Amino acid sequence: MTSLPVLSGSSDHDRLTAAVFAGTVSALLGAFYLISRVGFVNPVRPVAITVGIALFIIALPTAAANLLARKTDHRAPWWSSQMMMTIAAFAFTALAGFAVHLTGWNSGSLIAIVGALSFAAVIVLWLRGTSVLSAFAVVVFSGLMSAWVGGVTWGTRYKTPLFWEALGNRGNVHHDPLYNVSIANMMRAYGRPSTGLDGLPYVPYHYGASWLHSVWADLAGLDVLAFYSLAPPVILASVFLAGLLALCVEARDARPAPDQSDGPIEREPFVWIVLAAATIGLVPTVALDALTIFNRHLLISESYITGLAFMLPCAALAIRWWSGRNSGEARKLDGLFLICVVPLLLVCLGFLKVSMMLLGLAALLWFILRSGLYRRPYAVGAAVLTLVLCVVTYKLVSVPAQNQGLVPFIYMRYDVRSGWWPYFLIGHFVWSWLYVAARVREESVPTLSDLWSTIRNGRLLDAEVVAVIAICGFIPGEIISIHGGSAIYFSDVQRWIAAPLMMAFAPRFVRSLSISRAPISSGASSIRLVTAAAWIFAIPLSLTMLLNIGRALRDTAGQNIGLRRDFYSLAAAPIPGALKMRDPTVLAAGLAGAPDQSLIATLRSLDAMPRALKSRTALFIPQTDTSFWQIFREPDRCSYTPLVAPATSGLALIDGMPAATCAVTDQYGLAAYKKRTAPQSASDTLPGTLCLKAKEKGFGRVIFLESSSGNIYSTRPIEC
Amino acid sequence: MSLKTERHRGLRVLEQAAANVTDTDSNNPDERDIVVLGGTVAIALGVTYWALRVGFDNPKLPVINSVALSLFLLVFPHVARGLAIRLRRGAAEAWYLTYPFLWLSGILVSAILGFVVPVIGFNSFDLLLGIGIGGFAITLALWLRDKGPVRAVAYLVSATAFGVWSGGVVWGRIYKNPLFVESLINDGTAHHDTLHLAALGNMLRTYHTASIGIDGLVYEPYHWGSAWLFVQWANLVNLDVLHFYQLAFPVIGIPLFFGGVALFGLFMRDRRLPAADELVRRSGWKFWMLLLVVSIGFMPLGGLDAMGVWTSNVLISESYTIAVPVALLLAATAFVFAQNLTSGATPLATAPIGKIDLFYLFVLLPLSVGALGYLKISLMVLWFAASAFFMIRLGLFRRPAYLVSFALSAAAFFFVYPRVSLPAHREGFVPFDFLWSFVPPQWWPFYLFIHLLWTWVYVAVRLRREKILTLGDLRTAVSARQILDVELVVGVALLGIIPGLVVHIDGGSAFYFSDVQRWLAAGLLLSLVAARAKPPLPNGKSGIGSWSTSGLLKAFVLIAVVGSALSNAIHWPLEMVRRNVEVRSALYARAGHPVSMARVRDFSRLSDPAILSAALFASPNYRTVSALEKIQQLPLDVRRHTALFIPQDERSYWTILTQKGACTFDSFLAPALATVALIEGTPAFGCTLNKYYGLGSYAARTRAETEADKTPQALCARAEKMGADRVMVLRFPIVATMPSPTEQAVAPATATVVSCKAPS
Repeated sequence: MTSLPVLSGSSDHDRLTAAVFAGTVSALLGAFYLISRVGFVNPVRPVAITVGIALFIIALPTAAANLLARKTDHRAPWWSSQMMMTIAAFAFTALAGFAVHLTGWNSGSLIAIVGALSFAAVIVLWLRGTSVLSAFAVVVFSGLMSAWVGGVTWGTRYKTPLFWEALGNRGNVHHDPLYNVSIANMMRAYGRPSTGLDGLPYVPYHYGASWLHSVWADLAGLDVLAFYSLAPPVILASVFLAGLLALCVEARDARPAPDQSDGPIEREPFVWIVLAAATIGLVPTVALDALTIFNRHLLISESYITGLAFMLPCAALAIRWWSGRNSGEARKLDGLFLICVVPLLLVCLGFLKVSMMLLGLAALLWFILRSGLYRRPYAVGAAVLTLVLCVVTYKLVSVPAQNQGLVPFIYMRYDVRSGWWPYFLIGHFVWSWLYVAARVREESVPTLSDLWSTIRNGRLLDAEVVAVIAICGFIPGEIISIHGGSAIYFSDVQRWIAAPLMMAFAPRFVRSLSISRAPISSGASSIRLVTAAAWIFAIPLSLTMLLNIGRALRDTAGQNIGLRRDFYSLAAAPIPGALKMRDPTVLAAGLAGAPDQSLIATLRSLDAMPRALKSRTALFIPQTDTSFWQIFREPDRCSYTPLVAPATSGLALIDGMPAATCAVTDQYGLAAYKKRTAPQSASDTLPGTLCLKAKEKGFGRVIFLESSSGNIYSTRPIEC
Repeated sequence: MSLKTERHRGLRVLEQAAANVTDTDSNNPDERDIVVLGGTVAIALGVTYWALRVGFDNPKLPVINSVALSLFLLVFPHVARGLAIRLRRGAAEAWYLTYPFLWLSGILVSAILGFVVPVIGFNSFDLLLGIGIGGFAITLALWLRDKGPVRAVAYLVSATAFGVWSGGVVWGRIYKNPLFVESLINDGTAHHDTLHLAALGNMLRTYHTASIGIDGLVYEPYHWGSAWLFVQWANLVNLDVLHFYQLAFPVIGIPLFFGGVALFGLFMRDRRLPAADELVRRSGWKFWMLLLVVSIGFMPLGGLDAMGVWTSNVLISESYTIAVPVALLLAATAFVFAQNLTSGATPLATAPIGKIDLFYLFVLLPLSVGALGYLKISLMVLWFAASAFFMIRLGLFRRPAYLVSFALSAAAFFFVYPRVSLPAHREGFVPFDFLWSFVPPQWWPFYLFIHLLWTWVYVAVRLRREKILTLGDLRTAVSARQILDVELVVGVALLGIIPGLVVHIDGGSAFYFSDVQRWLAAGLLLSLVAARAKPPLPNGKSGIGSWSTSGLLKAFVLIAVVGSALSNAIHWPLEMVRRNVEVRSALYARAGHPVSMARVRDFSRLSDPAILSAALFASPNYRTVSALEKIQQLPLDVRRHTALFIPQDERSYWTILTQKGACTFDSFLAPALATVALIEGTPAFGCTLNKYYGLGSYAARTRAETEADKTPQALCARAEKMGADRVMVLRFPIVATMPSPTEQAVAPATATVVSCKAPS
């Protein structure tokens, strides 16, 4: 067997650094969540298990790969690489969560313990090879990153540690999570992807993320709605960050510096500068937003962050496969990778975020074409199989209503801030441009003809793939009107491929600049003006990064404090300072007095019903119940009102479409239902009628939600 | 001598001079660029103004006169220099024969000619008109011959577009507007800045006193130099001051501003580069592109505004528009003065000084300081600081002549400063006031970098050219005085931002300190731009394959830069037309022809003279404005002895301005429109008196106006204080038998004259 090339220990250590960084972010975010809920019902166990799941995915593969590497001098092939183990760990946690309902045994605690122990092992291994200063720097940056992630995620109405409480207080939440959680709850209770507004029609959507959240929520022992605010930052953002660093390390590994000048990433400031620039941003958020570089979208779209957290290890795995395929054993398994692994991963991606599947497919086809693999029959077969599977998946998950017709340059015209469009192509795709430019420079191609010959020789294949993802990501938003500005989920993907690649090559690039202009003398006089200018310019960039973090934290704190103030007011208690509004008695009294709390608490209590009973039960809320049907005070949100019921109770509604007077949107899966054409009549609410409808839709039991005077709710089961 | 003969002689001189220029001086093709492109901008502005007034009373003569005066100012230095070159016949170029100094001289000559108009009753404008138009035509012909048809058309189209853009900037905001008076008549929309300046100009014109004239002629310590200059030019072109500000200021000021910056760049370039390198000494498209990018901005306007880089303020502040080019032309003159003295290896501190040079040092330099102070105080402060910098850095303080010159400049500075600085603007220490007021907090960290961007670009380019790579190299270069220009630009930049960071200056006027560096740096950057022959590629390749990858990348970035500049360039002209259409559609509605949704494209169908005229006639402020305008038709010697009184109960006057808080500026209207000073004209009791705009020099009312205040004795007592011997009492009676608003609006105003002369 031909061995894979021998590696320096640096990349193994870099993987430990990545795991320490991401694991610390996860733990800190868990703590952030708990602190945000001080004074409210605040069990530690679900949060600890959630952090444990993150550590399991991040640290266990790292520790295992590190220990395996110590036993051999050779680089692990793709099937036993850390990235393959990460994907396996991802899948394992999902299956373990899925098994909770099937077997009745919850392995959440065990997974959390294994995750925590693995993380401890990773820390120990890492500390043995690092300096105190580096360790301190990594921990400080982890703190900053977790502050930013928590601030951005929980500073919106999409996700907040106090989501239930905010919902009970005038329904002051965004409807997106209700939509996703409805789907998750329907899959959890009935095993069917639907929003459950009037029975359980299939809703085409990339519901993989919803399913993943529902099974992880089972592991954590938490309802899905609460878990939706907890897991995206604690698990997915930290796995995503680990993925960025892993892709960076894998890229460095695949193409080591010719002069062996790459140091450990913890001592390469430009790795972290690029990471901070790509995520937190070194320019003000308003400027990024102007060019539709929406950092917030990364963290508020759970499907996007889930897709990215899964895509990055896949991309790193692909690099490992390609860089190691010259070895004999690897060559034998080329076919296996292309025919089995790649289609499976792309289909999984399709269910997590359809845009990523399509871009991944484009990258794969380009790669097979340009690398010469198309000469191999198995590669052609793999391409055809992948294409077919992707088409089938696309049919299952693509929402027809999102395609709103051909409108040239719509994204650039309407989403980019006025006046900024000339810079859209440069700014929005800046990381791709930078990477392509850096690679072109690295390959020393002074003219277009040199560039052409370099491309033909395949020396810029990585840059080509980045360019293909960027171009294919750019096209949908410029030709089709995609509802809700979702074109961003195509055009933004290139950032998360190009940025980690840039993280890998930025230090080399900067060093090459330094070497070409070596100082003549020594001492302060020898400091180059370019270096001095760079240091000076670093001041506003660093300040801006801190301001971006500070602003995110301010938004989160403001929202949290505002809600607490409301509860203190509702409890008629004197309002103390911002940090002192944590008296459990007062907060509980305030919450109990919140306008919609009684309704929400009643609905939530239904979620505790045994799963077997749930699976044959539907919920009915009569249109006369104005507290429910007007929970969103804004009249234009009437379309989303029914989503509150399946998201909170875990039960599907029958006859749950919005009132006939509501202009119902065709988005959010609502096109799958019949719109009301007439107001609900008294006969529609009779048990016999309800049972008839329930049976038509496959239910054997209906729960009738009734309200009496004084906003008191009760539930009346109707056996059919 | 008849005017015809005078004009004929002027043209002959001109032809001779222009021909000489062609033959003898290699710099002149670029100087012709300035004349032709500046003239084209002036013509484009004039035509734009005229087009925006279509449908209203729209005589062509004021437009032609304004354009002609602008052309004269552009042509004069070119012609004068042609003559000077012929006269000097190979001798070293003296500072007083340089293009910049001759341009300044042209401005001064025109001002003097304007000043003498009311004094001697003779207006020599026809001569200037002849020189301006004739000189421009000849220069244009020579320029066309030099450029070739394609390039000529490209340049002329670009200059026309630039003229329309700059018109958009100046007329796309509320400050100046071709329909300024119509807008005021329609609904009282008018910016008080313009009214203040018109009032100040009129008081200078009528009484020779710098005052806003709202209750007698209290001196206003303000940099009123540009107002004085405009009055002299208004005398020449026979325009009232308010209309001069709307029409002639842009037509004359904008070509002067950009021409001044461009000339500074060309002039400095020619003195930096070896004379033999003809190829390098021709301005190419890069030169003009850079000027466009600096002026229009390559970042979106929102981004520029966030950094306090206000592209429109350059042209809406007339004092700044005039002062910047004057300062740059003075700087160029000073540079050539120093360069001539140091020809050879002799340092300036020890170089022999001739008599004419002493005149420059002892008279012109101190006068320059004073003149700049009266034009724009910020320029005087920065100029004086720059003088001090050179005194120290070049060791000039060791030479008595320079020391005396500097002392005289200092004396001029300290004499002028209290006379031009508004006490109300001295509001004490307010840290980061400009940032708090105008820069969003998230942009603060970048303020120094973006606001002073062109300074940093200049510094970077210069250091690169000097091959200064390390801090040690920099220290050596500074010690050797190798980069004095860089030190100057950085000094002006850093000194310029200090006022805004330490004190409150009302209305964002700290900008006029911090922005100066942009034009100094831009001028100097332009001096580094030269058309060079493209070096052959080392690899010997040709065709598309030979294009460099880095060049391709730069071109790609350049597309965005050009796209953004174009986007910015379109913004202001559209805004200008939109505002114009707004006024027209409001008038149409008043005349009973409502327009459902007035858009830019509706401009052409909103120009029916009959409808517009009827609407104006029916507008609420028509009677007030026309009554005030009629007063300015009185003979000057009558107005000079007249004070105007408008009782406070005349609501049609005292509530004319409709913007929020504008009651304090109603007082400006009479001096601005009637050209005579008010007495008892401070804002009404209960209206908060603004302390800026010279209003702080007047006491706020502590009680409402009483009948006793309106008696002839009381009025005469006030009039006598300002040297007037008659008071005109203006009233706008409401006639009960005229019930409709239209009839009320056109009911005649009544003017009663109270004579204060003792019966002889």
